[in-house]
Amino acid sequence: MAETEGRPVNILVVDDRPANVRAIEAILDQPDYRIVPALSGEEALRQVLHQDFAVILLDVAMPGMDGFETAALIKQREASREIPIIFVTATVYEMEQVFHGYTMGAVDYLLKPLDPHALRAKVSVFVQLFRQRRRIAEQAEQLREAERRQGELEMMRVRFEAERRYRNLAEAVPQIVWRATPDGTWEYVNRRWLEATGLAPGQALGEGWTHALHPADVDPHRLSWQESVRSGAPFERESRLRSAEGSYRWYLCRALPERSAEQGITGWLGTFTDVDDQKRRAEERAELLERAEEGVRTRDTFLAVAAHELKTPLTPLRLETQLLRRALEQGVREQLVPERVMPRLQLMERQIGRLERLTNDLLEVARATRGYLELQRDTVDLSALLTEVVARHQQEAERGGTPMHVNVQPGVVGYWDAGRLEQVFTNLISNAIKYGRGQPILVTLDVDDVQARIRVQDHGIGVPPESQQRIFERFERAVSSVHYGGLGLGLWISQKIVEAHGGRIELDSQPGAGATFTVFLPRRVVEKQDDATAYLSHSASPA
Amino acid sequence: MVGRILLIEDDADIRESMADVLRLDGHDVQCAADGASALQLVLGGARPSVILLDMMMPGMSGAEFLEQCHSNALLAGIPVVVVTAYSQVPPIARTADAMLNKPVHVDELLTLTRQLVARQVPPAPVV
Repeated sequence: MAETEGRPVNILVVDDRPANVRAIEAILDQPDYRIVPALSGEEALRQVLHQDFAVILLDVAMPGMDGFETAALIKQREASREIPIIFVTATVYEMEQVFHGYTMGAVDYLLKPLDPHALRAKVSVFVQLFRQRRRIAEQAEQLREAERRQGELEMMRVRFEAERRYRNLAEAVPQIVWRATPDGTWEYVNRRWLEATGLAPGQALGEGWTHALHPADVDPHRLSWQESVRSGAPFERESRLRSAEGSYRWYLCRALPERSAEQGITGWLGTFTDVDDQKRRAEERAELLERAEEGVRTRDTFLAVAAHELKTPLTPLRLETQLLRRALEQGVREQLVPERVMPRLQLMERQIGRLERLTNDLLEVARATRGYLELQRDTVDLSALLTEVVARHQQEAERGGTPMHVNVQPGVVGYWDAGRLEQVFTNLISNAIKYGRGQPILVTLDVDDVQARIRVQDHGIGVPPESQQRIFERFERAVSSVHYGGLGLGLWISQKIVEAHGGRIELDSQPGAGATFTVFLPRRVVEKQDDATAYLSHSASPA
Repeated sequence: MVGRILLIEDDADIRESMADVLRLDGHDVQCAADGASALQLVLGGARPSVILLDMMMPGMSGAEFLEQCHSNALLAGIPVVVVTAYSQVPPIARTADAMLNKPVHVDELLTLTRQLVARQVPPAPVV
């Protein structure tokens, strides 16, 4: 209040005669009145433009623009319309009528010669009014200012609180949380970044974060991110981040634009979620499923192959029995003489032998797959055994036009499983005949202090290098089943048997030039002590 | 009705048994152990009235030989019987005139062969 009272108020005194102005100045000489003189209407208008006045004392009779014209212009201006005007005039003519022309603000008049008391009193009233208005306006302004400050403070508090909560939240979640400016530049990332990558959050800002991406992910990730930044569409991608140890883990990377109604996109809020375990588990599941399906397919194929192999010897067996039955039923004597019957019986026996071997092989798969390969060792004359197997196949080889040569060192004796080794030799020799293209086959046996060496050499189609490993696998063969039958078990079983003896089988082959299979058989008993045989040798021995 | 049969089969025992059965029925039987040697026989002048064809053979397989039957003028029109132990056969096997499943029955083999031979022999001229 004191401040308001103390501040001087402006009073504009307009009169073309300086003496009149001075006279009014003298009457109104008061410390809180500041008299501003104007010697013309134009000057008065200029003053009104630049400062505020509590009241204007306006001489009516002035050369040029007179008091009424000046007042009219002052009243036209919005800013000066409210300033009270006291006309100073020598005559009272038409004053009341003139006042009607002014719709706004106070208007009054004083007659010349001026009565100092009347002048002071009128001016004082208007000054009082002005001061009150000014005070109210100032109070209102103060009030508005106070409210504005309060509002700003509240805003800041809310913003600060939101920011604090947001940071706390960002630090609390298990994901990497980051924020970027509207152009996609990282401006914040939480501490998880450090835990995940070993890199300081500060290093991630700007474009720094891309250094933690897997080299193969950098370009596609960045392209996709730039595309989102451009279009404002949510970002989502799986990429790998390098950990502090240098290994890579998969993350699901997401970002959403933050929008405000006025400014559009104000920034981006993003997360990196570790999905590595999840992804790995999914991959493992897929792999397991694939393996299971592969297993089922293999089994189905095997069953089809097995059925085919079992039916093949049944064909001659059935034909021969039916022929014999017909001959008997129809009493065709010339078909029933020993010379005719004997070859038929031999043929039938061969088929029975084939079926027996097939059945044994099938049983062997089941056993050997579970590791149940039990050797029944005894003293074996390997030379005799091999010669016998060769002799048994001689006829078959000759029927296919294949000469078979033998070079067996006599008297090779050891402690082995004769039945199993017979199986091995049968497999190798059958294969040589089957894939030998009728070219000569050579079977040899020699021995040194350490091991016996059995070699079966053919000159047939051979085994391509890429298949040489595979053919020892179960159900595998180097050739297409369009051309060759068989269970695809012979070499697999043979290898199992030889390994159970502590030996090995080697293959030396060139495609088109034939194949040489060499069996190395240790002379000393070295049981292959894998779990299965260990288990068997214990459980098989009487307690 | 007696025909000339070309029997293509890589398994010596099956070949022997089937040839035996057919010969006892009076047919003239020629044998081949694979598609390639069968083709040699045909090129060499053999004019079979029926071909019995195994599917799985080394060298030229039954399926490959069947393709020859469709494209080679010397083989065109000769009835082909596919003899197989597989329940599932390659699609081309369906283009054969008939199919016999192993193990083969004597009766089936002989009936089918006689029918196909009869189809090949032109009807006797009217006197």
